[in-house]
Amino acid sequence: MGIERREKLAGLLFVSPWMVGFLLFGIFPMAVSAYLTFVKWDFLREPRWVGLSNYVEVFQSPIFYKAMVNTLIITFGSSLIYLVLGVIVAAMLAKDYLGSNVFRAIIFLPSLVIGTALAMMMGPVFGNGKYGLLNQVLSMLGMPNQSWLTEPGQAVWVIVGMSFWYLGSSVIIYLAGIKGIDPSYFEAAMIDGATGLQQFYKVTIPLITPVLLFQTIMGIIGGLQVFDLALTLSSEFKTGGMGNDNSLATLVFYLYSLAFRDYDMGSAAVVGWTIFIISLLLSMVIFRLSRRFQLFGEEESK
Amino acid sequence: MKAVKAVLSLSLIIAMLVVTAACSSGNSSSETNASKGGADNDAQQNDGSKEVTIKYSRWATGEEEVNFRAWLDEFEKSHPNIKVESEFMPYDTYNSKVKTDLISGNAPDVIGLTASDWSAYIYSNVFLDLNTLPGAKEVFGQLTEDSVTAFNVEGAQLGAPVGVGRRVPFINKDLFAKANVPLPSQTEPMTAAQWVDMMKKVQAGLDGDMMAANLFPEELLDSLALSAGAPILSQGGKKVMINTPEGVKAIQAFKDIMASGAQVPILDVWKGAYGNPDSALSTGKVAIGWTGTWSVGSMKEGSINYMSIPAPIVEGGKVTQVGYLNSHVIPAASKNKEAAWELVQWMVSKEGQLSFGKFSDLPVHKEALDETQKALEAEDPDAFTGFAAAKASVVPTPPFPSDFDTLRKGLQSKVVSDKVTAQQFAEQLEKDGQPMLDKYQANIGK
Amino acid sequence: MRIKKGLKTGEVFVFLFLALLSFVILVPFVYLFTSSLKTNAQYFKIPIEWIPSPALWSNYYYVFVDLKFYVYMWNSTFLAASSVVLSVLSSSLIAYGFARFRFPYRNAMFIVVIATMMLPSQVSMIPLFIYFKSIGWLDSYKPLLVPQLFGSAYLIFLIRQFYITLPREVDEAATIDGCGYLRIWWHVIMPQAKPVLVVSALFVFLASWKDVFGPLIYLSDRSAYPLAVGLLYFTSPTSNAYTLILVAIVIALIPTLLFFILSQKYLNKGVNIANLK
Repeated sequence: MGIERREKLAGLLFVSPWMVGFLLFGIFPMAVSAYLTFVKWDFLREPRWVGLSNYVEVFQSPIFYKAMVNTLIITFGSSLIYLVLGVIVAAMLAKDYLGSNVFRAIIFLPSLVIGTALAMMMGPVFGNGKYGLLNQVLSMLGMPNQSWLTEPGQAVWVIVGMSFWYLGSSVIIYLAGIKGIDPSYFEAAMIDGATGLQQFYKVTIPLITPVLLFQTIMGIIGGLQVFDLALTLSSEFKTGGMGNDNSLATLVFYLYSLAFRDYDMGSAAVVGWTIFIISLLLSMVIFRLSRRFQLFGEEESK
Repeated sequence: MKAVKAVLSLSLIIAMLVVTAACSSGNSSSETNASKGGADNDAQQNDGSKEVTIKYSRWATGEEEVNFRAWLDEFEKSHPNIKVESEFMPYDTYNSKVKTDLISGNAPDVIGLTASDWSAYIYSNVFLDLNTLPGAKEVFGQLTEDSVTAFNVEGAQLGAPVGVGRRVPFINKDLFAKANVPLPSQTEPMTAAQWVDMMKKVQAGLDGDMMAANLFPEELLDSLALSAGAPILSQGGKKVMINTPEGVKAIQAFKDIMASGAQVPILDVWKGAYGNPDSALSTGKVAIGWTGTWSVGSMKEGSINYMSIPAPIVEGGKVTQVGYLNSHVIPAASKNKEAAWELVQWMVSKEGQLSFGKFSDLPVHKEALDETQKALEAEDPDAFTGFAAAKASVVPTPPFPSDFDTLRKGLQSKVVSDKVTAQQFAEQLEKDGQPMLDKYQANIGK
Repeated sequence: MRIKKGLKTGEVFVFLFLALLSFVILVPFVYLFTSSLKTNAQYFKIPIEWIPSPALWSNYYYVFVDLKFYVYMWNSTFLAASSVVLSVLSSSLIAYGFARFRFPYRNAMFIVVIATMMLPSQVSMIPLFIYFKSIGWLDSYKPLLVPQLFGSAYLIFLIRQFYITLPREVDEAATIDGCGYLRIWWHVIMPQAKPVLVVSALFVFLASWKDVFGPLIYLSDRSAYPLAVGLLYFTSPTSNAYTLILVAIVIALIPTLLFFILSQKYLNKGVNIANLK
């Protein structure tokens, strides 16, 4: 009995810094932003109570739905790339051989670059006309040049494509997971005569499924908040607002634009809470899926 | 016992971490004080009267920054009891900074703002009414009327104009010679039809990887619409004005120029092989660009044989152009209003304006403006004569929200690629754009 | 024999695949680096000069010394290093609480930890800004560093997933030896957790290094700015310093690359977050 009480107390004590932080820097801004969804506020004057009209305005705006569709395309597109390609690359990098350290460093390289700088670096790659590196490749293949980021239809897919450059962070996590697998599993598989490919989907994949789930949840939360890249690309290419015909609009970009360009903090808060709810729903779906893999449940290791 | 021990060591760790955090921020601020200490020290022995230090901020980078600092130094020389600490930032960053500074009440004593950024704050009671300060009438009486009224809100003078920044078309004379096309006039504007004709001839005479023109699409349309007497927006940014027969004519002229085949494709203007409108001439591959006096230095560096010319007009119109009217404000929360006012007054005095005109925009002080223009034209006629054609009719850019900006730029690229007609452009901009303006005005208006 | 041959072609395929991927990733970096050694005129030349001649190494001296990038670099390093120490230690401590102890509402609290990541930071930025202003923390590093004391949700999650895979027997043995919980955390758990702590440190370091908005709104003294904000000084539309900005990007990349290379030794060890024993 005494031990149990002591354990309770100690546990609470250890997580108490988080609780204090949550009270100081979590609850307060969340409560304020919840309140803001019901007011018009330009930061400087007194907020003006408007009831539900921010919700009506946001949910009637076609830009909001455009941003939503773009965000979902980016979230699922990039999550898929991280999931599939990330695991494959991680499995390839897990074996130590000549140059594997170098490959690891190269694949992680883009994740080391400051966001605005990466957009500036990508400028020349996706640049228009003969100036773009990608267009120069197309010309060599005899295909017509593209206006990658300024043509409305394809800008969002270019952002999805840029996930290739951001593969590094996922690969690091998967790599860590794969390296953590007890080598005896692989040895047993080898004795059974499994090829490298068979080892991959018979041993590696099943054993790192919890890691995949963890990283996918993080990827979805991150994907729903994609912003920096879209902002800097649209200002690099001077496409006005949020890209030509709002083609670079994402939910957080829309939020930013409402709050910091158009001085409408109330509507921005509505968008913020929408993102929160979508994240929560999607994560709950994955929580459900993950119950089988004990990602969040009881902690005991067997 | 162990639980107590745990609490103790935990709080000890936290305390240690807090102390380290506190130390670090303490260090950084003491460092910065140290770096400024030098300047403060020499000032102290200057004058017997009490010394005031005020803060000044404006957007500027690179050489611009050095020039503005030198301008402030000039002020300090003539006002030994006032020290000006300055902060310069790139334009986009600067704007978010101004916003947070005004929210926090920590703003510098004198802030530079463009007319359109300024308009977002006018009903928030954050700027001082300069008319309440001594001598305001005389000071503002010497400036061009348009520029003063642009910052007047219902009788309250919420900002002091300082200058007008402008772009005009610049041409590379050598490329015109190469293409065997006669040079256009520096004083007489051409019509859009004449422009298209000129651009096509230049294009025909250039090498394959060269381009006749990389014009600034927004400003091209703005000046055509103004010359037709149907500006895109009304002065305060409250109404879409372009949906008239004259406006449609201007849009058509815009389309003819942009789709002439001699202009960089509209989607590639800012990120292509031909630099951007500001840097197009410096690449040496473009015969006509669209920029301001700030690019003259880099054109000289690249030995470009440049010349400025007036912007095109619609048939029968008069040349009118958009300009970027810039101002200074004193926040109502400033603790050094008198000294701040001294600085603002000096900045619009003839003396201050004459020096300002040498490195930055065109002055707003009437006499200083005339003298500056004459001096500039005498000094470098190639660079400055082209600006004279629209001298009397420069219209400041009105404020607009970001969704309107997107709509307008989208329509621009659609009209050039024949997805909408000039007529539909005007109609759609009014139909979809007007509600955006109304909503924006409801946010920033009274 | 058959198996061996299969393996070999497999390895060749893997190598080629990684080489191709690396090539695609590297192209913009090579372009960045060579362009940083050019003048504006060289920069706009088509076809691209992959080896600039002459190479302007003086660009680097100009940006690093004359434009004072060494100041920004020091500030960034200081901020990132402090964030790593504060955030990794506190998150590890909190994760230990979530992983090893049973207390009321533990699972609910853990869900809240994860949920805090889901509200975009832009929404809480202004309320927090006003809050920090009211307690007089503006123009200091406090708003950037103090919140790190209370752990980061991502790290708490990541580290906890690792801790629950560690065998409890060692803890229990230590308890019997009379070790307090805090000492178990420090002497038993932390040494076993090195790989995950290094991964965490890397992520915190990068997050702090890349943060633009925080420093921008909380700091107003240029001499206190980190590199990410310093970079913005090149983005003005009227600035014609096309190649100098590339120099600045390369300079900002070097410390993060060093950090990554130094941490590779630990990253190689693997992190058993997979909950398998």
